Amino acid sequence: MNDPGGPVTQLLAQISAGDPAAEDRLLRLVYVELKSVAAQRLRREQPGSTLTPTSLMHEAYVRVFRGNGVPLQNRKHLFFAFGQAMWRIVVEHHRRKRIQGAKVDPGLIAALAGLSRDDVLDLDDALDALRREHPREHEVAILRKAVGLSIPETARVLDASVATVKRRWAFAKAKLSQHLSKGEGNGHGSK
Amino acid sequence: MVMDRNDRIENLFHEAIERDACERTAYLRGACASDSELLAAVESLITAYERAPASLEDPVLDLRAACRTDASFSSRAPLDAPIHRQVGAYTLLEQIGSGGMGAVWSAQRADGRYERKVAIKFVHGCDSDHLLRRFRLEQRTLGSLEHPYIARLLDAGTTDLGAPYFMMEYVDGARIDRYCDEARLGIEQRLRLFRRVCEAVAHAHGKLVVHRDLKPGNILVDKDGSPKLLDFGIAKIMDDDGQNGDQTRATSRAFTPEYASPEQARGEPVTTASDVFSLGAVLYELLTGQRLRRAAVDVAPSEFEPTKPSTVMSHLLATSAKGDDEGKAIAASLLAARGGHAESLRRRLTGDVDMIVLKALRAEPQRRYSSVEQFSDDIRRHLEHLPIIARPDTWRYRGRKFVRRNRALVAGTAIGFVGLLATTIGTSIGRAQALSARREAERQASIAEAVNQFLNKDLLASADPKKSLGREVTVREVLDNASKAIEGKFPGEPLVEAAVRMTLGETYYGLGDFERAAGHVQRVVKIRETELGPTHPTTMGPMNALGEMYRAQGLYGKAEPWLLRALELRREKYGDEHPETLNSLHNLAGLYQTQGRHQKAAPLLERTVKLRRQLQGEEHPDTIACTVNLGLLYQNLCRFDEAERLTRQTLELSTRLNGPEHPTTLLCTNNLAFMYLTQKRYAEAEKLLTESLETRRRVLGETHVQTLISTHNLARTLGESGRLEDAASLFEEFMRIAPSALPPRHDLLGVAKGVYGDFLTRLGRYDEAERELLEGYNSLRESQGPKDGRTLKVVQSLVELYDAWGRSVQAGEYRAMLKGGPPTDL
Repeated sequence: MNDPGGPVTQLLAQISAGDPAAEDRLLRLVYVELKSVAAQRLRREQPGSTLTPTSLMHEAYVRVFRGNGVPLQNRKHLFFAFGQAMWRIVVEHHRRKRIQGAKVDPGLIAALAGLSRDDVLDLDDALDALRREHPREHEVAILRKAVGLSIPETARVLDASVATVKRRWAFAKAKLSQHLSKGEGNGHGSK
Repeated sequence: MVMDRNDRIENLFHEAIERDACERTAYLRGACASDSELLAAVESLITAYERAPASLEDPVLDLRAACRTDASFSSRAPLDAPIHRQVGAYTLLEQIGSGGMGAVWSAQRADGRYERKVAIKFVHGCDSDHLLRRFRLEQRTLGSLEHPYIARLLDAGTTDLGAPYFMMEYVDGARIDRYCDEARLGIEQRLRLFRRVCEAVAHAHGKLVVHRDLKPGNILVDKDGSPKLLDFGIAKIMDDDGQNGDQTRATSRAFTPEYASPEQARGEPVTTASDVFSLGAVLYELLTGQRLRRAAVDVAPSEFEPTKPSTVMSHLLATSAKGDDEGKAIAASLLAARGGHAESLRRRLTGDVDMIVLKALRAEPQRRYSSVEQFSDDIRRHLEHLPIIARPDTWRYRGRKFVRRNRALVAGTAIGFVGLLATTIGTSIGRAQALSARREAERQASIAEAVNQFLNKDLLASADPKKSLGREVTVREVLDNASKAIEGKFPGEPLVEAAVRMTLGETYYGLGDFERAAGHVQRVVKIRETELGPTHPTTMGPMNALGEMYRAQGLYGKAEPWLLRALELRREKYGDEHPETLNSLHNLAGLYQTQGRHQKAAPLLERTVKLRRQLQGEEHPDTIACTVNLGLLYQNLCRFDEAERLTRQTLELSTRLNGPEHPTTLLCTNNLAFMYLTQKRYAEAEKLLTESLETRRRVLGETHVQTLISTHNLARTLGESGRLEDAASLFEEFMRIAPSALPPRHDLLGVAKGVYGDFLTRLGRYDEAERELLEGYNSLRESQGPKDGRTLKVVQSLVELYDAWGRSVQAGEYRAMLKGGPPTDL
């Protein structure tokens, strides 16, 4: 997204400040931008060969918008699908690299707030377990962890109250933390 | 309802963490009473919550950060600060550029033995030994490139610190795009300059050297106004370097995505056609001031087609008129640099120039100019007002794009069975009509233009908020208006009419109005059969679509011949293992499935799933669609285990790929619930259905057919699990909405009446039961036939009603109808 003025950032700020029109603008912007980039980038970058923050974004666009041809209904779908797509790409990338015994791209590690490969795969297991039993909490977790939304932003995107999101997030955190501490010391079976 | 154990744990968890640590234990002991397991589960969660690492609070990925990174990505300062002051006998002077691979420096010999400056280009992240070997191999070929417009590649080597580099002739000049803008070259001059660039590339192609990375940054213009191309041969050396491992390959892949051809980006062999594409991208930018990717429109990548340069100008015109200040300023400087105002520039570009640029930028190499000379020559012809050889693209792409744009408003999948309408465009057009290729091309052009006009003026104009006075115009209204407008609009231009009608038909289908959809598509088939013949790719697609539309309407007798015909023709034309053929097979299987001819559908669908998995992959939407259907089919064949397994798999896959509220995910949820229902696993079914009904109401609305199916299934579940009153009230709601929301012959209505009648019988409300059952029976007999399984099911219900009511005569009458037994095909 070649947006020198950083409108995405601005719009997200306006959304958290409670400007409903900003949501529409963001959606429109993201749609147009993402689609055009997706159109350009699909197949232009070999998926999985390397993964920089840029190509991660682009591959996610492609996945989200190639989809099923069925449109995303609202901002919640968009953000969730986007978060999911980025997260899936990261996880797949790490799995592949593990199989190949290769190193993960340094650019990606930087983008991942310094999480190691094992961290990523552990977290994915934990998220997956959460999704099975608590899809709503999983939704919050994806928006928080993989899209980077704050609690109030998550609430706006989900059209839920801040209190609800706080509750879900607390529970998600508990579940994730439980799962992560259980997995400590165990090897990673590939699924 | 008894609270699920997980829900209890969750509730207790929330209650507990809101309390102080000291109160907490007492509270939990009290709440869990003697259930020590429950207590342990909650306490373990609380411990986990309290010990959660702080990092769990931080995002792992951040959309904003990614956007920021991305925005600054291209302009990021080069990482290689001048660690190297000296490269061999050369002293670095100043940094003159930075590319994706590394920085470029000017340098001069320290010992003064060679006065002229050179350019040194550092290359990151590749195996320098290999690079040098490649360079030696290529050196002879590159040495033969002697052209005034080509900067010579002098040497390659490694610095003392081990950084590989290339050394090139130093060119004192400006990037071509900046040069053109600064010199305020008009369109004409830009085209002439560009032709000189082509001359250089053509020379290299003559020596069998492909550039592979043509972009404005690699094309300089010197003080005399002559172009100078940099980096010839480098990309090839870099690319070949990558064969010794994934890691190096990834980093050494040397091309610039914005200018690279699609085949190059896919990693396929690069030919001169790739350079034609890149040159097209450069020309695009020189003319419009927009990078190709920024101007690209909303298309599937496989149908990559850039916005016409003239259209870009129209946008600019709009921006300069009413954009924000920044936009206006950009537009103004862009126009000033081209020595004109937007409208005259737009007119200058419309037609020839648009076509020339787009021809160079075709996604498929064979549809581009066959050589750089041809490309350049077409520009010459244009400059000399001769007819050009670039042909307009076909109109079909436009029609499809229109539909795709409007899908955003069109939400929804077919009923239960996922019908596939996609009538992918065959690429065989043009080859088939060698005889009258020229006439065909001209005809395509006029169709394209007319369709565009119609879509833009008649169709989209009514969606313009200014014209609708701020009222929200539905797609539906737009379509209805267009349907009226099309009558008699194209006398003597049947193919134009067909193209427009196809678009309308597909959009109606998306909206669920199958009758109107079929009306349009029927005309399309008729027109195209007459005009183009039945085996033309654009005739077979609509045939298939028409069959599917009849199926969706419940007109099975009409559907089958069309589907069979399309399948036969496609088999002949494309073979058995082609996505188009599979599409037909899918829809035919869907018809049999909807008709209850499950045995007949099974082998067809199994084959489709198998081939799709092979050809298109597990995660392809079409593969998912037919897997969903196969799950349902197994259910109907009483192969419950397979049905459940397949449906669970697809549900899982779709949730992961599409998210929990995606129509496909909801469809799988519904199907799985239906499976539980037939296995009398009521609690599981109810849970899934309640959730999916809630979601569908919210996402699709009360009257959407999918919402109605959920309502029906939930009502049925409630009734069969013995909650007759709840079921009846939900059915009442269903009956209030369904008749006006569903097409009149829709089988769901008849089936629902049958089930509802059953429950009314069991509640002793015989009068009402009789009315519902008879209505259901009549509508099913009419639409599905008297021997259809669904019709007979209602007959069975009638028998049960009259037995319970004590009306033995009627009971006997209907019992006699059942004598033939249920349809054997089941």
